Amino acid sequence: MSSLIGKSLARIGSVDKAMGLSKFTTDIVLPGMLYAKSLRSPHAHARILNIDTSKAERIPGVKAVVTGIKDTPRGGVFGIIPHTRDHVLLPFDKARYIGEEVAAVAAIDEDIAEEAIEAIKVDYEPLPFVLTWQDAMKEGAPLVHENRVGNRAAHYLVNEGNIEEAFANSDLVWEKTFTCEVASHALPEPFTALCSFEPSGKYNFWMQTQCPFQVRQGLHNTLKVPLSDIRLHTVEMGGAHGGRSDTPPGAFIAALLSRKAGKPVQLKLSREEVEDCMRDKAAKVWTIKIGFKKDGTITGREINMVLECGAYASSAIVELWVPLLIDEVLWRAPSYRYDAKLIYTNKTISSMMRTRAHVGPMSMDVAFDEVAEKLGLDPIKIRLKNAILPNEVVPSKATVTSTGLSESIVMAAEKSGYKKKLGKMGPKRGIGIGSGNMQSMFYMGFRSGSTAFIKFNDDGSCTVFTGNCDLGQGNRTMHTQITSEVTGIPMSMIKVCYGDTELCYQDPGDYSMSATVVSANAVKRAAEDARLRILEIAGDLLDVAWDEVELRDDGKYYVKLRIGKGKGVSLGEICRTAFKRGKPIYGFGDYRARIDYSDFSVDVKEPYNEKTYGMKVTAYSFGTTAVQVEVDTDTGVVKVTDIWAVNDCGTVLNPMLVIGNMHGQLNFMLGQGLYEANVWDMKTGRKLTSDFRTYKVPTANETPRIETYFLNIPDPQGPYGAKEGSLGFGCGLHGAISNAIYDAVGVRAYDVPFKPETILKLLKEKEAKGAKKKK
Amino acid sequence: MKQEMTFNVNGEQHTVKVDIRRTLLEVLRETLGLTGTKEMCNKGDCGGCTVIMDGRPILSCLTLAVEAQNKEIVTIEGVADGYTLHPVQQAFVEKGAIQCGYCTPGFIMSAKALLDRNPNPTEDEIKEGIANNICRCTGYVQIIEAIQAAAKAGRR
Amino acid sequence: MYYYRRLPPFEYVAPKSMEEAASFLGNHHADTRVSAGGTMVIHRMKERIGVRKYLMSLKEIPGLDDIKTGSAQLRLGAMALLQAVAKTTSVKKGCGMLALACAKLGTPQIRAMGTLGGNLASHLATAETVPVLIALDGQAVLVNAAGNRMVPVENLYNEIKEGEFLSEILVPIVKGQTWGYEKFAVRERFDYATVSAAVTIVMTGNVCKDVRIGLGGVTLPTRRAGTAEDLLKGRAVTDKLIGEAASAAAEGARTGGDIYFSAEYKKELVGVMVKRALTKASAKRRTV
Repeated sequence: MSSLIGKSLARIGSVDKAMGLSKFTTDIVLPGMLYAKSLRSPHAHARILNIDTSKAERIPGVKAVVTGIKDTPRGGVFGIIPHTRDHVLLPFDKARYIGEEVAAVAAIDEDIAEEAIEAIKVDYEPLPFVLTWQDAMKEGAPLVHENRVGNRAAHYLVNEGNIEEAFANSDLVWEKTFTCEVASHALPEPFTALCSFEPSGKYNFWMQTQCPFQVRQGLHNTLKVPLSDIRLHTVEMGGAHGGRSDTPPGAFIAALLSRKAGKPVQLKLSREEVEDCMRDKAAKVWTIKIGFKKDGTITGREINMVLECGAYASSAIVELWVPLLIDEVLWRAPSYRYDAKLIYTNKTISSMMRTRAHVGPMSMDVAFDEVAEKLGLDPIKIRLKNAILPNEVVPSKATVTSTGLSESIVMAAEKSGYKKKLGKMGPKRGIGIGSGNMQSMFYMGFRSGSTAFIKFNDDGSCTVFTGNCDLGQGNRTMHTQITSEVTGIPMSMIKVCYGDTELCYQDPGDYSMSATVVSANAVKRAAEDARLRILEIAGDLLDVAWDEVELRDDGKYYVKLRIGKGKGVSLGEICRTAFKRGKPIYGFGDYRARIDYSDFSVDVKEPYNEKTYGMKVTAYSFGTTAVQVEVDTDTGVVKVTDIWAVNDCGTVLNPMLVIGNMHGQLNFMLGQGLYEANVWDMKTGRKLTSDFRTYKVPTANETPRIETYFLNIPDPQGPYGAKEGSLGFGCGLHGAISNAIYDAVGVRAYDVPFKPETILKLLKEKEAKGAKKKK
Repeated sequence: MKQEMTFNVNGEQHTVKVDIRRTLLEVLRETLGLTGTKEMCNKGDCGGCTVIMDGRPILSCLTLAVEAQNKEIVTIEGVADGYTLHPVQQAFVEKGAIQCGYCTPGFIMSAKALLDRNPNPTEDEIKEGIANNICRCTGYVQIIEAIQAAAKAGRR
Repeated sequence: MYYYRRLPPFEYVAPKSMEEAASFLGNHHADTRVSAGGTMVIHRMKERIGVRKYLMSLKEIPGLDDIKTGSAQLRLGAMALLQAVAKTTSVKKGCGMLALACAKLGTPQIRAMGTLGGNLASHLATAETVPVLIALDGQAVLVNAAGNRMVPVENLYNEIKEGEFLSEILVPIVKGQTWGYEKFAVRERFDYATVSAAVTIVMTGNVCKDVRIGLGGVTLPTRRAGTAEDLLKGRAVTDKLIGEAASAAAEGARTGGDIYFSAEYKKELVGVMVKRALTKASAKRRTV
């Protein structure tokens, strides 16, 4: 039987999607369904004094009205990490950003719901607000959360080795500050929460989410009912990319309304509402200081980062330590200091985003190029000197189980013709390279694992139950492919039931790319478990030991060595026999992420310091991109014309799907590197880039020519050696673009996005300097 | 203010009473139950609501339902022939051009409109034909490849 | 803070003739928004901008989208679709710059819905047909309850009154005229032109006999780069002169900052666009 591993197969579910027949959350209509709308704060920061809903309640067709003051159970709060839990989903005390929900209505149609919202009267006491981290950290600044001194949600400090000594012993110390602006996910499907409350006390939800079990937990905390009374159903989802990684207030509000009205309630957000009131990616300031020996070896790295998380810590807290997790294993650093602060501001809440770790890698790639130039070193050689190696243990005792970083640098340089082109492409064109990485799974306590279950029907077809979601990347297909590979059952006879919190076991969710290494491993183990049971009965029926049985191409199980000669036994027969014996075939598999902390302590008080020794992540993916740019020196516009992307993602389970995911990552990186930025009205706190006209994501016409390559270096832990493949390789793109701009026109850009006006200014400054020199 | 209107959708004649405030997108999805056409940005900046009206690709979210009176509309549900996929749909499936699938109907309608008027487009013409359509998952490359494959299949 | 998905309540009127439209508008102009293709009006109404009691659509007036060709001029109906202006052979031949500008405006969907008149009457500094029609010396026919009148497109925004709508645009076909069009947009085939420059020029040998430069992305009254035109008239067109004219155009342009670009940067862009458009326009005849 030919292996399915490495085969490019179409995504399961594609045909329905191509025909427009897939039902997404926004398409579901339940009988008697009501339509909800939220009333949102017009102030960036205000106390909620009183809400008068009497007029709204009297409007015919309005079936329920809820307010934070009246209906939010006290004491329930949501947050991914216990010590930054700060989100009361429908607040009763203050509104902390423009667009935060304070009340909501459910009505028989949307027109009435919109009318009812306008009829609710809220008395606010506007408060002073902060919109930048600088203002938020000032002495005496207004506090977004009263119990958070200095508007600090969290402070992460890691100190390995001796950084002062390292700098003292360096031949060159290089320091620079890099920034990135707030980016949006711009998700195609507007957020929708559909809740149907059953009189017995159970809440049924349909909503888009990457992490149904996290959401269930958050709703359990805030609705105060047992986990079994909250069910998130499987949904087809219109993109996530990190922006659906926490418990959204809309789900909580839909639940309250559904319970009050006794009918299913759909809360659908408008595009502007999504952009103002859902999630963004935090703005970052990253100051890095690196010590180099004159041969290019890094002696130590010191990083100071400030992350603006908006009004609540949400899942941005994860973004505080992801840069550490991946930076410390990308390039070697015997001494290492990482000081990162998460700062509250009165803005849209930040959360995870697939391009999360781009400023860090960028700073390293710019450093390598600048230092190589200063020290007269080869830019590729200096990188190879510091690149992490397989099985290397870093100062915090994390181990890199597999890496092809060095190979990816060499291959990207080779495929792009880097050496030939560097410095020689003409007055406006340039080439640059940048490397990146990403973790597969990080520590989430007992939720760091996945459990899969496979149920068999009497004809041999089966259903795989996994808590892991399919956001569209192809997880469903991956699980089916793996199950088929292990058991030999044709893919057409395998169904995947995913992400249903009632039917499936807990899974970390599509968090930090855990699907491949954690969820798929659980599915693989469940399939292997099922296979053993199948073989046992097959052996019985064929009167041989179970290990003398194998599956052949015609779907039957035969005794080895007697293929075609002896009678085979079909899987259906095996399943029916199993039923008759009272031992139905099933498969059960669990995978706990290989994470251990040999010395792990958490101080839950502020400031929070964590000693993180040991394996914090299961596996890391790596990769390098080489980029060619063209700069219009009259306008400062930078255009990326070509990208060569080399991906170290272990074994490639399904190349066509992974390549598509890679293109998506490059698109996100490209957009945030050149076109996308959110802008706020600093006087009012209102976001000004809340639709697809003002927030400029790339279209097909911004897409460069892209070549993708795989290294195919198996990871010891991944299923068939696979690890995450659609994020890490691309995180170096901004560094590559910055370096390519320098190669093209001799100016250095440290702030993302690389705006035309900034580049033009730099070009003019360079010209002025040059003119001065001539004189 | 309600008005009766008649229009042809996917070959079927429909007479419905619509509130003049309703857009074509809303009537297709909510009155006719054709949820294949998606509401993505609802303001014409993403192409997710693209349908073909009298042979032209249009944004149904910016079209008043009453202005579709007596027009012939083709939505994504009208592209396949029963369960036999149109070459564009087949190519999208085979080339990996569908990830989350939410933008897919809009792209397929734009692609179909393009190939109907230009059966042999260059890569640049394809990029121009899908200029209004936003995708966040695929990075567009496999979509362009799919449309190229569909054009080739159509020529055979 | 209100976020709407639905359109607000309004009354819909679709007159069947120009007279009916003029009469209605004459009586109700304070309460009426006129809709051509609808792309801009509906977009804004969803944002609760420009909402009035009546929405009057011009879609059902027959003949308003006709494109008529003469030997001396082109007559384009206000309701002509942008894609029709872009693709009609007579337009491409007679005023190629207008066809090109419309072909580059927006996206296929916008061009299949949007109209020439709608773009012209939008009052936006960034409306892309305006600088082109200024350069082409276009005339706009305005209809009101009392009849109709013609105004140069260059004066349109000063002249058009409440109660009037656009019915036709007349473009003279000038022998020996060459043209150049440049636009700057963040996403080239999607976004509106932040800044654009449209140049028509008549040259004898390499001497500029007549030139018109229309600017987009600037505010009134600087939509026509008069100073730059004066610099060029009667002189030999060289790279140096083009540079001087471009600087003069940038200097005289009144730009406003927005959330992406500062007013100063936009002035820079004006200079670049004018330079490139002039270079294109004069390329065929120049010997230096």
